[in-house]
Amino acid sequence: MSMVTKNILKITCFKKESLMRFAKFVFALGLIGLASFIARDAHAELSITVDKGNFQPMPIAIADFTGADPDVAVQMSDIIRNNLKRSGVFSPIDKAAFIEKNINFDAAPNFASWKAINAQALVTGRVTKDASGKLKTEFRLWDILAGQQLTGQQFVTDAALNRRVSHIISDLVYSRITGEKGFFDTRVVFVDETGTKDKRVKRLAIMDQDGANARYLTDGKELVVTPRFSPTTQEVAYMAFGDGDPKVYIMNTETRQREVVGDFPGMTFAPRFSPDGQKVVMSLAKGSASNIYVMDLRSRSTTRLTDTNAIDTSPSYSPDGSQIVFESDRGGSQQIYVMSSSGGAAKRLSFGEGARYSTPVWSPKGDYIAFTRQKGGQFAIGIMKPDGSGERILTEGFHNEGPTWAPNGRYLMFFRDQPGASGARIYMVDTTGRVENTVPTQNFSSDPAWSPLLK
Amino acid sequence: MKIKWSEPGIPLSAAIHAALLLATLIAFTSAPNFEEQPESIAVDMITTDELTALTKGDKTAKTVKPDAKIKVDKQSDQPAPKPDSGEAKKDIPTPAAKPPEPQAEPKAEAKPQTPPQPTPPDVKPQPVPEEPKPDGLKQAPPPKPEPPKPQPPKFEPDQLAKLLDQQKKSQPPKPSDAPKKPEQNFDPNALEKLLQSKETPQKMASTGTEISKTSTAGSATGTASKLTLSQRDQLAGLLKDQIAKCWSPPAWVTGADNLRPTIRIGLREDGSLDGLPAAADSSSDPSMKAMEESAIRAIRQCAPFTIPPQFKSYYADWKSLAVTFDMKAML
Repeated sequence: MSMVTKNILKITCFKKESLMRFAKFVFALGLIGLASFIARDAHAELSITVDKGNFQPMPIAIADFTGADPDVAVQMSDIIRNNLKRSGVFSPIDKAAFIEKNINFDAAPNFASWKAINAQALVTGRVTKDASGKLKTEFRLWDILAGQQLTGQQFVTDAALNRRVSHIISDLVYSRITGEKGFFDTRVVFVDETGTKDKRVKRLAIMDQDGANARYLTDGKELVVTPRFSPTTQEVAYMAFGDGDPKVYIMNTETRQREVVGDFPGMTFAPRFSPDGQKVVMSLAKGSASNIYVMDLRSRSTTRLTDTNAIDTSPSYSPDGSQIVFESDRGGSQQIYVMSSSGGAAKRLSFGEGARYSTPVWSPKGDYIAFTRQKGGQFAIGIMKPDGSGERILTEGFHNEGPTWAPNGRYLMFFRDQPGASGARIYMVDTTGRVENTVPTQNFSSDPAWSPLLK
Repeated sequence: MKIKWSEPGIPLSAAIHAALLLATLIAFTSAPNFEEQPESIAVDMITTDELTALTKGDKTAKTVKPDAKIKVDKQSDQPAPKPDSGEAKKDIPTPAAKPPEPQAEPKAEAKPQTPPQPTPPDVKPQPVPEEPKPDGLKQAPPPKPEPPKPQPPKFEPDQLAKLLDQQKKSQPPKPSDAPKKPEQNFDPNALEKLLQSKETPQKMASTGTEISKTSTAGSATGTASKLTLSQRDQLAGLLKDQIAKCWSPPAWVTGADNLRPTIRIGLREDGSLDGLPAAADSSSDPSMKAMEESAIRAIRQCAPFTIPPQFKSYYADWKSLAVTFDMKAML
């Protein structure tokens, strides 16, 4: 074959190839055109993506409950109204604006009249006493816009439990609307502080999550700090400065019986229950070092989990019990680390620039770890994902500390000192940082510990 | 520099390098060529408006065709344009008739030429000098002595005449059309005029791979949609803003950034809700349910929607909506 023919052949092949490619291209174009035509026909419907919104609590009307004893009935609806408002999810409408005044619990409400005052939901209720003196409480939650009942239940209880029934109804309304578990039927153990700054009396106290029903658990003869609720029982672990070394105690909040946890030669502090309530993990100080130990409450056996010359403290279990998050200054400054709940190598989670992290607490839902962050003289309460990413500061100021999770993992309580104030107060914040409330207490208060849902 | 044989380092190194280089040259003489650059393909960029205009049906069309083709006036550019299918055969004699036309498609003529001519289009000018046609268009330039020119024999007047005869015989029914059309197509003056024309065309030609001169009212199963894409965007934006004002995103929902419920809504012509808004795929997951319900509340709260008058006539285009709610950007 001559060189020339070879070349021609080559050119031909190339041409053929490019023609083929071109043909493919045209074919593909045709396909795309066809596809877009079909798609055009299929989407007769106009598609819209709403990726912005207007963060507004849901307007809800809570009608006064009716019943033989109006005082109790109205008090119960007031408790519900207050709870729902504090959640930040709802905005209860002023009773004075209601158009439909005399509500018949057994009939559907006049939806139009509730819609007229912009209500999106309505709670109605009736409280009666049966022959044996038991309290019968019924309630309904209505969707005003859809014109239908969303949920309704009745409870027969001791008359004294009307407050708890109100919290339970609040939880049902909250979880029906939000899809999350409730948190209103809970209590909070905290440190009540009285007296002057240099002669402070610190007593362990317990109250409902809304600040009501407060009562003391200790008499104030010894200093108490860092109470922690058991996630399964009505027990609290805390640290008390008695005559000897400060020790970790466990107290039953119903019977007020208490006992020392373990028999360690030295100071134990920062206790925390395991998710099953069967173990307590805490720090034991020896010399200048502190390490983390776990004690099985049934067998009383103890296991050492860390072995450093640093200060390892504030351990907190993941809700599945497989990991422990804690703070340590092993790297030079206080940071948050995570390790297996059987000890071993730890992985650092917090890396904020120029910041110290302390008091990590794993959310009962498992999706966040709450912490206190100290940076530039400011104390912040924040959350991060369990892998250390997605840090979100919920509040920051002069002094905020000691986060504790609501059992639904959507709210935190913590305590805050205002500059110039002579004591701290307890606050509640949601995981978005948008909702913040004071938790009303009679005296100064610190170190809150949120209970699980009551049973 | 004097070479010291006692220290042969440099010369030895030089010699070995030279040998290596030589060996390399010999060994790799037939290095593979670089890959051929793919031919570039010209693509026209058009706006969505143009696309919509191009693909929409014609209001004046009388019939609704079940399988409507897009109206196409112009063929999209191709490297080797084929003549219009309808006229291909008639065009065959054209190179003979109009030798001055260098653009004349000689492709069709390749058929009768029995010897394998792989690249007839590349040799356009060849026919010219050999044309012994009565037209006597003396395209004077003497043929360049290009070596690979096997054409001449094929354009022997005898053969051509034969061919022409055959053509005429085979197409007796339309004797008048045949000569006419080629003329129109290849009139250089007309071409020039066209090229120079500054008049705006009365109608933009639609391009496509196949020419279809009939405009249709679209297919019977097609939508009556006439909103342009940009109008759709505009209306979607207006509705989105209205809904967003009513939507309080459930920020507390677990994993809210991954939940994107879609709610289907029917609208009446006055913008009010037609039927109940419903989640496209209703979920039993409490978090998803909370998202869906917040979305439905937002829609109910917002209805009736304000539809600006300019969109009223396109009711078919917005009577059903699929609204997707996405919190990701807000968290």
